[in-house]
Amino acid sequence: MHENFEIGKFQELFENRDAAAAEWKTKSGRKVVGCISTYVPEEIVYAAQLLPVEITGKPRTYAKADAYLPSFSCSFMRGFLERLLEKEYDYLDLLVLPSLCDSIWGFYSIWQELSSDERTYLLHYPSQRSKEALNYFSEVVERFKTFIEAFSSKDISEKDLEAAIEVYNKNRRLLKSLYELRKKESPPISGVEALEVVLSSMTVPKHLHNQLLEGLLSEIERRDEYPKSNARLLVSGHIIDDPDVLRVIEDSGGLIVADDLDTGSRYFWSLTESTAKPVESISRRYFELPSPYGSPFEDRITYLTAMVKAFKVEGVVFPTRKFCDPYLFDYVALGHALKEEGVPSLLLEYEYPLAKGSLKTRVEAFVEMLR
Amino acid sequence: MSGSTRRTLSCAREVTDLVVAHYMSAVQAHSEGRQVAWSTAVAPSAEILYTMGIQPLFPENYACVSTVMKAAHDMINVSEAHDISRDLCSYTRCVMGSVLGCESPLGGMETPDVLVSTKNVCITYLKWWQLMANALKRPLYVIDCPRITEEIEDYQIKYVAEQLRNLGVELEKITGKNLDEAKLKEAVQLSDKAAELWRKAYEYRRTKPCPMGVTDSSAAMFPIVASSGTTEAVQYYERLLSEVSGRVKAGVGVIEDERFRLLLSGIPFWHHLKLFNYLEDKYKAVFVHELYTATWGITSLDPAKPFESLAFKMLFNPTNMPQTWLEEWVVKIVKDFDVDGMVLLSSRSCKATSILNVAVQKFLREKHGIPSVILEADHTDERAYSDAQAKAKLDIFMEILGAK
Repeated sequence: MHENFEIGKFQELFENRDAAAAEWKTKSGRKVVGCISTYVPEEIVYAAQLLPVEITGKPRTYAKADAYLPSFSCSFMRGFLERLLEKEYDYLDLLVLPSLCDSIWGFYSIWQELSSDERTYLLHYPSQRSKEALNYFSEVVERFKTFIEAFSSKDISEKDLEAAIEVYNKNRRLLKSLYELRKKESPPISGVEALEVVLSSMTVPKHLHNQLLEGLLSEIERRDEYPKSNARLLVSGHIIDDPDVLRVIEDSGGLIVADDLDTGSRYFWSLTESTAKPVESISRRYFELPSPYGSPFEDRITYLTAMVKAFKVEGVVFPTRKFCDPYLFDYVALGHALKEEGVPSLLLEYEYPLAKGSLKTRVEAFVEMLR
Repeated sequence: MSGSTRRTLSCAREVTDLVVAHYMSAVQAHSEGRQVAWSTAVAPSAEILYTMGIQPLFPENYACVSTVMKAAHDMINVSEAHDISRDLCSYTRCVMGSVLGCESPLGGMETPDVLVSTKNVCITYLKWWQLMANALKRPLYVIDCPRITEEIEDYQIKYVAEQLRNLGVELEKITGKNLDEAKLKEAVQLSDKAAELWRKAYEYRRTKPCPMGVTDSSAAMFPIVASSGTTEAVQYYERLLSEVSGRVKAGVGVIEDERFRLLLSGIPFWHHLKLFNYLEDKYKAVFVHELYTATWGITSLDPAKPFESLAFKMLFNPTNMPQTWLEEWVVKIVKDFDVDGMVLLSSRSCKATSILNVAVQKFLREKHGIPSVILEADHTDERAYSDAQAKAKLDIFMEILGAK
């Protein structure tokens, strides 16, 4: 059971993330920065010795947020606003939001008015992929670095950035090694567990996560493997901030062997190149991520279909929170592209509290169709 | 309740013919060997496109036209059958229905040679245009437009202007002709002139009784959306201005006995424009300003710096500006136009124009004492609309404003 303890550690880290970040702050005397981690160049934040943490939006109710955001705005930002208004995020010293979608922009507008201090930073994320957009994004990241330096009262040297890149790339390599094991006929970890590993990486200091990952990787080979009888699935979509979403899928006859999630492979699949100009390298990495926020459909299709092949995926599930426009749009293109490749897919819309019964029924029917 | 006469502007009545002519001009362009582009309506590029002889069409306008012509329903159904979610923009669902083969008004929009989009209003602009480009297998150019968090800064203008220059270069490859900068300057001057005239016509709405109501201005905004940068647009707004100023001199308003003056936010529910008549007929309440139609007149352009001016126009869009700016704008309008209350139209499928409404209502009431009502429906998708409910909400609101 030793290996189960190791994997359980990641679940624990994620579940205790708020208390842990608050504790880190007290002990270190340094600041905590809430991010949408996949699109915020975290290396900059880390290099300033701040703690970047992924924000989450699973509230108990939407009672307070309802006074500001209507029911048809993205339920993630509504949920996050609720958590802010419930004072569950009082440990955050700064919030960095990439300008991804209309709900983030709307949220930002409202929060600027409600929070009445300068703790929110909107980071431009380009909506196209030309050379001038990359140059501009580099300038945006450079300005962000200047802002973080002032905010943390620490100059960030090129050496600091290089060191941050190294720590982050190491984490990315380790996570990739873990994912590689899922290509096996009987993967040693489930989709839920893999999600918890990634989510915890987004909320604890990276060098500590690296140590834990190294421990996990040395143990996991010996682990009891998952049964191969279940259907091999890939999950594609945005931030999944509650492992229960994937648990429902795996409790319904599916085994998630790969993903194309903001809180999954897309968070770590590509490395930041180490070059003479670290800000440029960092910018390029985030700029080139396949996403609904500026990549052509082809980029996402290429990434997704490569994953499907490499991990021998039988079916793709798109778990999508209600009213998430960018991913609902991309589903149209991705779903059709998969169909052309002969890969069945399922759009699984959800909202908190999860309607587990009906979600299960839908996944079970999908899995049955695969068999 | 009835018996009141509504005086429609003759310029507004002209628009039906202008709309038909606009869609036909794209067919004409192709027959003359010129190209057609589909562009977003808060257009980054109409002036550039006209300069290059490319006829722009605006899918948002087509959705609006299709809705007014009661054709949207079938088009929307085709999109939804094609996995385009009912929660996504109803303009998108309407137009994609046509793109995917549903029978649609005027025989559908002339197929484009190129598509141009931006994100200065919404991410939907980007995603919708990607879907169209994908389905039509035509190139798409996106002008990346940063959100403004405080003031518009030079480095942002420089970036957007650079992209507009590059757009010109890309379009040259399609047309085989160079972008003539002198001609572009002329187009920018014409665009500036049209916006100025539109603004002036708007200013006359401060007068009591108000000479132009929402039904008229929703029609009269068409040329500035579709034809920015052309002589025709300037001529149209000269006529409009003269008609509106004539009314003011004669003391003629949209309706007799105007009692309430309202401000509108959001996209009109195109399928039920008669809702506005209800306010006029029952309460003698007139819309004296709409944030939506005013959008096309708020920017001045400098022909000496065509790309920078167009870049500024893109950035300086109400949906791209910070909440503080929007609030100041509304407060100023309320004062200048002597507004009694505000009607906020929420479209379930349009986050960009709707998700702030609940907060805006709260802020306006608490900070500025401005009363408002939110109507929830959808601008294109009639299924999300209940006439009885909308009227009941307006009845309560008008009662609060002091109507008997």
